[in-house]
Amino acid sequence: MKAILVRPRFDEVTPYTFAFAAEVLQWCREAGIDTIELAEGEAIRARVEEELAKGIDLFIHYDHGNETALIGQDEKAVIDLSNCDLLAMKETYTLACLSAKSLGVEVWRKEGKYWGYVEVVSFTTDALPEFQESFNCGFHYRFIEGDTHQNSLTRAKETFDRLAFQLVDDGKTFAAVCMRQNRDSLRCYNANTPEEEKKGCLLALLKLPTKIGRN
Amino acid sequence: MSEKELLAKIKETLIAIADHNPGWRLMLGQESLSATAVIQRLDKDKKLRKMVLTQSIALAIEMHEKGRQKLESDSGTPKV
Repeated sequence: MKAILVRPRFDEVTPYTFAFAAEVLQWCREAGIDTIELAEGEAIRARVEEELAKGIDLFIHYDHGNETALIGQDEKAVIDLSNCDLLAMKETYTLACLSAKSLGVEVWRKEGKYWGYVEVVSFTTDALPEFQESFNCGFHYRFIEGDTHQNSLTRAKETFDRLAFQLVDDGKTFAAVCMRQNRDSLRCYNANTPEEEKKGCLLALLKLPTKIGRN
Repeated sequence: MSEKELLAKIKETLIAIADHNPGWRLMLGQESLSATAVIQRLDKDKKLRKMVLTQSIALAIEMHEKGRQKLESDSGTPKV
């Protein structure tokens, strides 16, 4: 398997995501995944497009994003709706705000598989190991252990839940709130299609009163 | 507990963080916020306030459910 890992570092937030991505890079190297690292100055659109054009199986991006783009070192999009064809029929794993909302759906329409978040991602500095575990666990389940997309997503959400409860036990309630929000916002297309995810949200809302009623 | 009371409780925890861990930061997208800044944002940022309240309630419900299930399994009470 060939992979590209993109990790800019330029503001107060990205040094943390840069460090989170180091674990993923280490796992890739240990697992024999041929990984090209595009870090800091290399994490720009031209380099990303150049490496993607060579043909890879897996695209990893750890940094900022928005609904339609993944952002690079120059704070410009490395991937957006105009060049996301490059991710067609590939696996994409991101830690970035919002990108599963439109960009991920577009990649999925092009037969790509996309792991990302539909809301703003948040974390707190009093629980960095826990947030690192939550952001990286899906990668381990899917690409290191080779589990299916559906199982990897289910297991990742269970991990977020376990970590959120653990943070409450540790008295880090605000971190737990962020952990739970990230959990709800996590998407994996093809584990679920974007349409199924929307249905899932409605079902979750219907489920909540049933639980309360039983108590 | 009303929404206002819950928000006050959340702010209490943030005040405690500001007092005991001044280096604490919330990374919210591209922003890095101190506990004091989060308290101020909660007053004016409706979306953030809604997220924090929704997730706090959801967490409380899930922890209650988890506790109930543990009690049942510990006491051998059959599940209904």
